[in-house]
Amino acid sequence: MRINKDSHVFTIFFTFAVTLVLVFPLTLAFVTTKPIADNYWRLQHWVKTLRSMGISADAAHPHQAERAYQALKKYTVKGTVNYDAVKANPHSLAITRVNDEVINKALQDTSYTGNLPIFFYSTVVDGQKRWAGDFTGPGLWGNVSLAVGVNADGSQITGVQVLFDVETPGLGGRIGEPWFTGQFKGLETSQGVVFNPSGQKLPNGMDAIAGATITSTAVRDILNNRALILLKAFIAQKGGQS
Amino acid sequence: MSYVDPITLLFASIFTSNIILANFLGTCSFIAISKDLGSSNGLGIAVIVVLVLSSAISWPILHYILIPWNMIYLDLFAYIIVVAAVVQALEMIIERVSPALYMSLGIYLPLIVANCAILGVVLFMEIRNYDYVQALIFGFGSGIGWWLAIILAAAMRKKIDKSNVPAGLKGPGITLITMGLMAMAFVGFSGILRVQ
Amino acid sequence: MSMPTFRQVTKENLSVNNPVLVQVLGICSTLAVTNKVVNTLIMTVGVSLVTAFASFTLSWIRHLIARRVRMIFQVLAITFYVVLFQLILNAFAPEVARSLGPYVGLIITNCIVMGRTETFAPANPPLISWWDGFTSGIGYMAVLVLLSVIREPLAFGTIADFPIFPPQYVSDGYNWTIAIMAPSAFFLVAIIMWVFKTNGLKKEEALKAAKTANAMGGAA
Repeated sequence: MRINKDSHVFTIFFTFAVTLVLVFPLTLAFVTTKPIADNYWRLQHWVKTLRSMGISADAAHPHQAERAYQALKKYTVKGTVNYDAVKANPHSLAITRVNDEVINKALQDTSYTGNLPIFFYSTVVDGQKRWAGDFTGPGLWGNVSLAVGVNADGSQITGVQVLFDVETPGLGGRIGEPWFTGQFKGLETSQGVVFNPSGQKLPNGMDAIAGATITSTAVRDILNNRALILLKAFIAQKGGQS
Repeated sequence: MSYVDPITLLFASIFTSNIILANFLGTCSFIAISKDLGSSNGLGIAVIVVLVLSSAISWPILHYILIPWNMIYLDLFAYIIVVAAVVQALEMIIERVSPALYMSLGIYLPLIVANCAILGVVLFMEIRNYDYVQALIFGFGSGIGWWLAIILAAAMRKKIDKSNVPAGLKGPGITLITMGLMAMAFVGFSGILRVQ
Repeated sequence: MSMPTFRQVTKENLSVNNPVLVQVLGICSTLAVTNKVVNTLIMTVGVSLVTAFASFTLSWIRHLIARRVRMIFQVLAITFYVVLFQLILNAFAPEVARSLGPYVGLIITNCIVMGRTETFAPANPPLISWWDGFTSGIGYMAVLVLLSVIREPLAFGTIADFPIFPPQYVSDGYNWTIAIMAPSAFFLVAIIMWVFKTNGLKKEEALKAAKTANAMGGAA
């Protein structure tokens, strides 16, 4: 029988067949590559969370990073966060302990989107309390997820690391580079983070990336409108405990 | 995430976050078609229609199929099928309903599938977590923005055609330079209003 | 029309009919990724492979597709390879996948891929379609790498991340911000196009002059 390739029935059938044939190998590829992508994302998460608290960690030594990460105390937030309410009353934030399994599950769900839930960490470095958290906000192309650490009383940033971003290559995508993330160490938090005026370095000032205004602003806003507010509430609630 | 109200979103998607001059999506057909004002108008309108329809169809697919069934890795696949199907269906409908419109608009329809602006807008809709109304408005506004940009460029090219341009730079060359200047002007807009 | 040979296809795609300089295709991603050489290379390798395999596939099933609905099959095949490329990058080169971000997905609507699968693949057998797609990608790569080799030193003082200017070039603000941003690619492509086209025009004139001379000689 000759196929009438102009008939609607054939076209629709053939389209479905081709779609199915193509989706199958893609699903296979997805299922086989996902564990590899997940491992990378988890390791990045360990290393960068530790670094944001001023603890040295290296992706080349995954076991060390894992042990150090497991030693942290971990918390999460119950329900959705009302930032204005938390700003007015730090104790209105509902914080609970979580175990590593919950975090691992969350990491598995977010390895392609970076849409991490909020997690808090606390530990002691050189006899001093350190606090950190994972905070996600919108960038230009997708989520920007940051690990932000502060010192015992929350007055200074101990480090900022970019956990996830899909910003424009060569422009906003440079937020992951050490020269950018390194500048946050030691910044004062009481007034919030601002952009440095050109040629000056303020005690709470960061340099924006030239040509990537939106991404730079996204980082500043995640710090001011999410990270610093929630970390303050976290310290207010857990800071009294030893 | 903070809610962007529809009017701001519409304004932003037309001017400050213009899909072509601020995000540089959809430049190929822009350069090819902007040499003629009439065609530019036709393609611009086709882009608006396709953008609104694809946003309208992609949003439910994302929220009722891809996310609940955990198939988000197939998002590009789903979106491009929607875009191609919309264009294909539109082509067939216009051909049957209004042959005159088909003659003037039909030839541009295939060009739209290869227009990064469409896929870009649908991707933005997913990335920025728009609700249904926002997705529709953003699609419509981006379409208007694209139409406006191509009309402006076509008008300018009409003028440039009469000027004395070096032979090697005629056509696409000078258009690229014009677009570069337009884009630099639009960078200034981005300080006024920002949508995410 | 006689069948094009591999040699003809190569020459067409690399110079005479270069996808960027002559056909002005694939401009979207040209602009954004070309401020770093490494990103440019990976992106263009992706485009070459996707174009090659999508052309191969579409040429292979060309007898089963009605002309009117060809578009949907083109995008299906292209998207398939792009998503595959993306998944592989995510797993085996996560750093690279991260630095290219959204632009991998946008290969789908790269006009070069669409153009080759629309014009060449439906009319030719699979193997030469593969080669046509691949060489188109290489022609694209040649121009983009040239752009990035100009932009990266001006923007960041490096080529493929090897410093060629002293670090003060960036830290003291001597670098060209314009070279980082997308509009500079518009200007650079235009300049390269200008040089390329002027060369072409000169050759044409020389050819014409030679022909006229021949004709005159014949008359005499």
